[in-house]
Amino acid sequence: MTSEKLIEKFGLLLDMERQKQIRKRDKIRTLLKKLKQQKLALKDRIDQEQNPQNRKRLKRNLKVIQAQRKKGIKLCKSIKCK
Amino acid sequence: MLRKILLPTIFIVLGYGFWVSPDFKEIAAGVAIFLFGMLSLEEGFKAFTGGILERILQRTTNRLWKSLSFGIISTTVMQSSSLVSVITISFLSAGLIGLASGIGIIFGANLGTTTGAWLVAGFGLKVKISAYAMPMLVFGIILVFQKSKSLRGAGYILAGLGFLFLGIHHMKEGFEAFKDAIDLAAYAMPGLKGLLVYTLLGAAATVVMQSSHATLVLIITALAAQQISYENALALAIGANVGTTITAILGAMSSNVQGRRLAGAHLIFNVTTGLVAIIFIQQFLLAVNGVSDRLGIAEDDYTMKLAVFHTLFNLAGIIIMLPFTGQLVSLLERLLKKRERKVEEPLFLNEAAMELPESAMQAIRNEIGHLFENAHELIISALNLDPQKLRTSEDLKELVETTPEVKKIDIDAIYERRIKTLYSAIIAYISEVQSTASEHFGEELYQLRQASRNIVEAVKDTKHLQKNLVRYTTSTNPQIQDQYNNLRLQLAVVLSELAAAKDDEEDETSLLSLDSVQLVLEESDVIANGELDRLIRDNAISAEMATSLMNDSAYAYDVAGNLIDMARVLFGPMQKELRDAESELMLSEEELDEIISSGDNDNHN
Repeated sequence: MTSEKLIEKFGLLLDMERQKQIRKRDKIRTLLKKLKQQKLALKDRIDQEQNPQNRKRLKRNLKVIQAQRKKGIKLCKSIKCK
Repeated sequence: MLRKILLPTIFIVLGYGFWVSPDFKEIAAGVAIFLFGMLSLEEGFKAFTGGILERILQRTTNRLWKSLSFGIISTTVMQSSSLVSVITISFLSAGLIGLASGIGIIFGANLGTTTGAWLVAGFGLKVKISAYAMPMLVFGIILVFQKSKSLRGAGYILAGLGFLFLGIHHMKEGFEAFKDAIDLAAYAMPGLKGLLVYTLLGAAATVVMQSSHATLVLIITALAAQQISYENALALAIGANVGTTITAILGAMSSNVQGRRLAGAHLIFNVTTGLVAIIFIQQFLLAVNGVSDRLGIAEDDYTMKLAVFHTLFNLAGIIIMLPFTGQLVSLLERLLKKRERKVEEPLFLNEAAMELPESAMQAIRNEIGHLFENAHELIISALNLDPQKLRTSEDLKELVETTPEVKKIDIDAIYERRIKTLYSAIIAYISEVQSTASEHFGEELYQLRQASRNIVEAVKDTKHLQKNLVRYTTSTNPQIQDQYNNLRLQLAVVLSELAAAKDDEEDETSLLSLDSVQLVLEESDVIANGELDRLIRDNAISAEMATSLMNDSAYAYDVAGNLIDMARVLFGPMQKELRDAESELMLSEEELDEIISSGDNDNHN
């Protein structure tokens, strides 16, 4: 490891705000994983559902999860770039 | 009456003692300094509560053996079973831990506190500890004046230890000098009589000093100076163990029924342990000799032997009582029952929970949860739905259709009985916590106050809604009947989802699932989705019905909206960082509108 990288790492350790953001990013990642699992499970349920009313409800839930994931991924990327 | 007499009596006895003997003065001053050290130590450890201690407590008490270990380790480290008891009672009162976990901690604390006797007998008496006390006090007091909370806490701990050492030193010196003037050993009582009398003396001394630790140090120093016999010292130690329950009982007086049950468990444990020690004293003496031999403790090292005895009989108590923890919990639940009340009273808000900001916050959360449960039940009844069926039903539409006619219930009376008292208590408690807690909790307290207000608003909106629900669900016009049943269905969906979100605390995405509920709400708005216009255009409903539906739709929207807003504050993961992350991912009104419009497009395509 070069000395510059070492200094950078040390600086990161001291930068509390950055640390907080990294923790936040990790939490968002956890949620994204969980949402992905829910998304896949919902897709399976939609495929199997016969009742049109229930199918509509599940599709709506799927859209909500997709929108939340989209928002989360965007947020994750923005924290990574900072 | 007794309290009024007790204090002057103590003052007179002490005053007379100081006048008669300067050595007695030194012993008493040693005890006072020691007790002050304990207070300082507790103050120091309290500075570290509000984070790590609570997190450890919450995570390590899900199994009985873990609770027991927590009790042993925390009391060994902090050298204060009182502090551990107070924290446990406040957590139990706030509903953060269960009674069985609390009992495990208290059992463990009883064993952990015996390490104090080992430290004093093995280290305090053999080393000139006053030499360590002075620098500790100096460094400690410098740290106490620092601004940082952790440094201040460390200062209190260091100064506390310094005072403890100084207190032990003075007690030791006092007893050494005292034996030249008066030989207390002449009052030694052999046999059963001595055992019982000195047990009572030990208990009484601990009740007065409210610290078994201080009594034990006093016993050890007196024993080292040969002012009491070994046999009587054992009885005093048994008495100190029984007397210490008074701290837990006093602490539990200001707590709820759970706190009182824990104090009951503490009393039962210590009295049983004491009785076992008295009955089997000979067997214990043999065991002490055996263990001492193995540990290389000299035959005449009675102070160390006392420490062995103290540990052994507490350990025996745990071995005897631990397998019966379940039965003990049932017994205490039978003996100390929750009072049946006509008017609902708070379950979690009590003084004991206010000891620590974290337990106070959790108590408020739990109480708002309690308020929500009552409001939830009230709203379900107002919709003429069965609460049990609502939780289990797969098809809510069918559930609403099977009970089409709404019957009027007296919401005002139920509000007075089950909502108002709780709401008032929550608001008063929040104000009290706000005046003592740090600014750090200000925002959260504000949100919690708002959440309880949301619940009350939801109940009030339900009252407004009920009038026309009763009227139009029995109407002969099937169109308006359908519309009002739709309102019921819409609220049933929200109530069912919220109940599920409340029950599923483990779900990390429970807050995010509220977006779907919000979407149901937005989609069902009869004004926004054009349903109301259609009904008027088709002359399906009268103008009067239309205005009622418009108003009631707004009420239903407000009921659901208020409850969702409350859920955003109250439900979801405990961990703040995860909650914050979830809040970031939650959808705004515009984003939800986008989904609705994309859904419309899907339908058109």
